[in-house]
Amino acid sequence: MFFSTLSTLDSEPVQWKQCKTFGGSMDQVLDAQFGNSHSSLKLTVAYSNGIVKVYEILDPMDLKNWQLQAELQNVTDSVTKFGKASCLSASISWNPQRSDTFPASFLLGLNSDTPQLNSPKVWEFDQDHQRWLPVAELADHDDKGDQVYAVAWAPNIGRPYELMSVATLKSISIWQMASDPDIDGRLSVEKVATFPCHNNQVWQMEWDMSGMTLATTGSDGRVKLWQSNLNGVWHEQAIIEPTT
Amino acid sequence: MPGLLTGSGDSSSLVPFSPELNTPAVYPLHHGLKHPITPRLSISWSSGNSLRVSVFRSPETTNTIDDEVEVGGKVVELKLSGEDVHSEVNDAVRWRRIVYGSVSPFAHLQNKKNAMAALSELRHSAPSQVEWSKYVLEYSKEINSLLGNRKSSPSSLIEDPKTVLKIDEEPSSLKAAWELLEIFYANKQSQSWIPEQLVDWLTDYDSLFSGQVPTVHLRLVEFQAQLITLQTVENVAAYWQAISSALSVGWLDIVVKLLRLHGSYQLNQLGSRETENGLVEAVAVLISKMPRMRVDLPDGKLGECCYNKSDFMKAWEKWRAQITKLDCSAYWLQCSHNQTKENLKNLLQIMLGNINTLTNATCHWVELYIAHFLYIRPFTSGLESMHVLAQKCIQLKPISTPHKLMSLIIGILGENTEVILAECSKSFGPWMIAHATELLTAGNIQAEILLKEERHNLGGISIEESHRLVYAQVLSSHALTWQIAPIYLISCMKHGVGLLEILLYKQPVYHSQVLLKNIEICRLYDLDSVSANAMKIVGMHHWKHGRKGSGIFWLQQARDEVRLNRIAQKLFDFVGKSISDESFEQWEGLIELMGTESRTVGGLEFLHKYRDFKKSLQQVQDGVVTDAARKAGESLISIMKNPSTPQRFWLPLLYDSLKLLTWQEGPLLNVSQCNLLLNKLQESSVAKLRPDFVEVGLPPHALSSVRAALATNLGRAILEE
Repeated sequence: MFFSTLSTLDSEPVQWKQCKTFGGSMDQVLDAQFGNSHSSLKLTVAYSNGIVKVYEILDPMDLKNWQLQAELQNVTDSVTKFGKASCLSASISWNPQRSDTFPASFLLGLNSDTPQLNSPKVWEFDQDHQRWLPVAELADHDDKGDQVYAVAWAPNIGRPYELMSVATLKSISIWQMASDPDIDGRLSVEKVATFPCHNNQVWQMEWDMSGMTLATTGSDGRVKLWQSNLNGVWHEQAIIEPTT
Repeated sequence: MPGLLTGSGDSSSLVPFSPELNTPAVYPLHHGLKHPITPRLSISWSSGNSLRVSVFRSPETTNTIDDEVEVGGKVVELKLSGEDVHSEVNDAVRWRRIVYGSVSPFAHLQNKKNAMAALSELRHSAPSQVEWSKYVLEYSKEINSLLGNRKSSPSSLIEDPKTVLKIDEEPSSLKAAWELLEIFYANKQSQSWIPEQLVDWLTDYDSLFSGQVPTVHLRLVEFQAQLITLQTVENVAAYWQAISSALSVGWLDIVVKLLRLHGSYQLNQLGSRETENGLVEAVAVLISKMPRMRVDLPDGKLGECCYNKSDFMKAWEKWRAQITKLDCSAYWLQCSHNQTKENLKNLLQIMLGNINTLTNATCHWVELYIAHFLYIRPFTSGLESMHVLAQKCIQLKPISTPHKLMSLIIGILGENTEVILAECSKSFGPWMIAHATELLTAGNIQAEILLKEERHNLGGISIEESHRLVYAQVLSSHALTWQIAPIYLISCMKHGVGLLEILLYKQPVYHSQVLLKNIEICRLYDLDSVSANAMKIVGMHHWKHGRKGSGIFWLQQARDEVRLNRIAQKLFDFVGKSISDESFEQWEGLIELMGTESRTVGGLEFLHKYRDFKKSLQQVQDGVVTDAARKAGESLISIMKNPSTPQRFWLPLLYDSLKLLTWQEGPLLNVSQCNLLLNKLQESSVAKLRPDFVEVGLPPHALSSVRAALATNLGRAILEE
């Protein structure tokens, strides 16, 4: 698995050149997502052994030089460590907020054989102690071990809460997360909608630029659009079906 | 979010929502690929509402030889919402003209609103409603004029007597809907003229209903086509039907024109059909003298205008008395043409407001409704009684699936803002609703509360704001309209700026046109950090692709110290290594660029001086000339004294100058100069301990050899002095 960056010349087709390779010979890379920070470029990479690594670039002019910032397992209790897990897929979604005044954070969910690793968790960078901490978990008590296929963090253009979506083997759910932590330092979360999947495995979830519409694709080969009405009730708004 | 409003009925919730009923619409995605395709679709949102869907062919099939030229996949771009309006105004150019044209009235009105709010705050008084409704009306008229010209195309000088109906360009229901809102909400001064305004409205837009239901307009169009072939019209039922229908909805000029086609007007018939002709003419005259409760009538329209109620009452009574008198006249007995007699009497019944006759003459309930205003209840006023009347008309002429304009009328008459919003957004799209909220809220406190109240369900914004955001999203989806989205976004108090920032970030700024537009917008709305980021992105883009000069320029514009310092470091290293190199010339320009600005960030101007110093040092190395060496020594001192010289460069500079410090023919520096350099050396060795120290890549003995050289020079200088 490699990572490359663009290199173009005027009026010529875009060319890509390889800058850096991540991952060893044993472990596959399942997902890799760039963060939004302007001051230091970060990259989260999830591997098939259940390990997630955060890399960052120290010199903004040198895209070949990545440094490992942290290595983590997707568990709420950072003390517990699990042995090698086997993951089929992973989904990482960075907080789309571009401002550097907020701590960097991302949402991570896995589809693995270790139930504790699966449920989507929000990871936030603690600047004071230079470490990543899980600050919220997006799963009901009974569903914590469910395999997660996709997660997506919606852009926030001014809502007092964050909006996220999670697709598991059972359902698509939409979550609200408080923007400010409670007294325990945790961010309270609330599930605002659940839609059963009916054997349709979700492959991809994307929010539009305002965070008002969620688009999903899945094994049924259709694109679905989800929106909330003026009462805040989420529903399936439209289905797009390929046809010749 | 808007566009999801469903029809109302339950008043307890804002918009009733029942998941059972709301089954999602299925839209086909035409991709044009040969089957089979894989179920694996890939999606990516572009700017605004534009969703890109990648469709792939099944890998098994793409390998066969026949398919070699076939493409393996395709990206289809979907634009969500706003489509209804496009079907309304199906010409993209015309539609864009409306979109562009509505910007300035909208912005103007927002400015007025802000100015009035500021003024009333200053005076501690509520803003004047009268003044505000004046602005809203101006705004409404401007928008209305964008939606196309209606009303009377200039009539030709020689009129074809057989052309009873002029068919202008097809009116748009968007304009029809806007005018309805204008009549009921914007035009406060003429509230008492609403019935007559509705008569005019139907005259202009009855044709719009024709697609869905039979209309008087359609009846007339059909009759006109037939007319050419008819000899004696008065024997044809369609002729009388056309007349009575036109009369029932008040198209008096058409009625009179049709009546004058009556056979009894022909010169050769005049003698034998004198009474008959007299009756026809009497009816035509009565029709043309019909009193109308309105200020004026457009050219060519018939009727007698009465400005106030009492005048109208008198005229109305008199007119009705004349009709009754004619109805009872003995001349009817002398009229031998039976059809003429029957049908003229029928027309009198229409004018006398006979409900059965009117119901027969009209085609759908709106026409019957208008007929009521004209002939039965000319003084109907107040939305409640108008609503009751409408309900009665619907009962008399029920329609299974109401036309969108009918639903809008019912919503307006029912004073149900939610229904109006739902109809507007469902039938006329985001443009309509974003612009119409100003009309709906003008002087209507209930609607204002509904539309402007901040709602937790919407993430803390009002319905009005949410509609504007949706419209701005639609604008953002197109390369030709995204630039006007900021005007709407900036009117959104809560989420507008947030979305504007994202919109600007989404633009491909490495196209210089887009970048300049971006910067302009940022300057307009004080979004300095956004434009700085755009410039950083562009700077890096150019730098990465070998356009170093442009890269530095934009990074300087962005005041990006971090990256400029990195570039300075690179240039420094380069200048240090390749001063004699021929390729130096290409770097010289960059140093020039970085050194010319007086307040350059990151001490880049130092490089300029450094280059000169290196050049003189080069001369020293080439030929051993004391004069040149002395000059080089002087420029070393000046460069070391200069506060713009970054500290991290001090040691490398001194190390480069070892030869000067140990000059054979005698010391080049005097005691104080030596002391200065020793101090600097001391400082830079202390700086090594600091965490932000940058290693320059000198040999490990550099510090000690410089120190030794300086000590030697100092010793010799002391001796000389």
